[in-house]
Amino acid sequence: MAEDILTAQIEREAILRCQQGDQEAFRRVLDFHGDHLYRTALLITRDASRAEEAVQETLIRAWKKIRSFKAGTNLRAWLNRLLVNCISNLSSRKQLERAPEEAAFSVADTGAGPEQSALNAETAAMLQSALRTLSVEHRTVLVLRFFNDLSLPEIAESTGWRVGTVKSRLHRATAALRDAVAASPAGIARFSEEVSS
Amino acid sequence: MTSLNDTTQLERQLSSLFRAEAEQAHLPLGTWQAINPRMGEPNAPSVLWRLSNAISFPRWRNPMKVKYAAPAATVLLAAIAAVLFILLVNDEDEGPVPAATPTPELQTPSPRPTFTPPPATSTPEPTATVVPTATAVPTATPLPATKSFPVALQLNSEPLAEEQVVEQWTDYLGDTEVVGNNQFNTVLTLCQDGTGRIRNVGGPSAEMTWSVAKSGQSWNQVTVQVLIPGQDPTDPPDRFAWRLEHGADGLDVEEYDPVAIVDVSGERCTA
Repeated sequence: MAEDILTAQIEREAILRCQQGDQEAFRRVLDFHGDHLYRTALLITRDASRAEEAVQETLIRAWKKIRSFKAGTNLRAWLNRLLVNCISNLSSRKQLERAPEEAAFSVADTGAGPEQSALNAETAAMLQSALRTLSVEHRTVLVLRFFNDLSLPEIAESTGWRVGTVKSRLHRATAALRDAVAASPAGIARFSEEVSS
Repeated sequence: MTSLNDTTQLERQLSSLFRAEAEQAHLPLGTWQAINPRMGEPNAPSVLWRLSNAISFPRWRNPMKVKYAAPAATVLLAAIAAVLFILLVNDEDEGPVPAATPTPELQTPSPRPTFTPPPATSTPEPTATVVPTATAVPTATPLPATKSFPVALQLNSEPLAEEQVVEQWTDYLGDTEVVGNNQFNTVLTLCQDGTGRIRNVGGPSAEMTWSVAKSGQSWNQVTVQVLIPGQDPTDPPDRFAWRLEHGADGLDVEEYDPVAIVDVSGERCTA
């Protein structure tokens, strides 16, 4: 708790200095939030180079607009919103609606960490394959909800959508993901096993 | 085996997948170096900024140069283009440049010597044959006329008797200069009293007398005979036999192609 307060205090000072044109202060903000932004971008785009491009564009915009940032509000949510806008622009510009065929990650190759214990390689591959078939909007709402752990109003704030829109998109995204999993060869085989048992 | 038919289970698996994937991902090390040069770009891209970007204006490493030099250079280019455009428009307004300038002798003071016009009776203007010459003899542009061409000599007038024709032509050609000849580059000054002067451009000049020798085939045609003292009057050189004709296209010159008949009343013939 004390650490959070300290972090928040440091962040406020860094933002204030950024607003005065201090690029070094902005670099510290980048050090603090950069990884999270990149991970979010990577999970949405499913492509490392596109994620890097989106993050760079987001950071440039953040630097240009930092004076409009209101002190005391959530910087991560603000950055998230810029990122979602950048990805949306990139997707309309570069036809990123569908993620590339090659997976950006290979969960099965990693060591067995605490997160992986509940996720076997087969399920992971099936989900990754299904995620690539979803639209950018659906992947965005799933990532913000299940990776960033944002509430519906927070997702609405990050995306600029209405809460009702977020709710319906989340529902459709989940349904689309389930359909995509079921339509995959592994999903069909699994369904057959469940029926026969 | 985990079932994904249950929504809650699906969401849990998805959350686990995202976290597992995210654990491997880190912001690339070169990100700061990539964005740092671009941090000097103006906050609100101006039209000039977008224009300079559109024409692939180079981005310097120094952000201050990027911020000010690119728009300034674009303004400079636009100004140069505007000046060129204005000059071009002005040139078009001024019209074509005359093909040649008159000889010094023809640059008389105001009122300027003029080309003989047709009368105001709707006949076409006299046409002068344009002859390309290598020297500075006036060629294409007739001077403004101040001396009216006799109505009686026009093609659409009633034919006159030969004496009247000679009189009319003599009266008309008096106090004029017949300018230019493609073979001899001569200028003839025809004074009203029958005297005159023949000059070769760039060469000697000589006093002479002139007369309307005959009217040609009809009243609208004339031959001017020029005699230089000392020459045999029975054998005048052909070059001094000028035949002029007022035809459907106005005053025409058939021989030796004089290109302009200039009124010099009160100027060259008063001395």
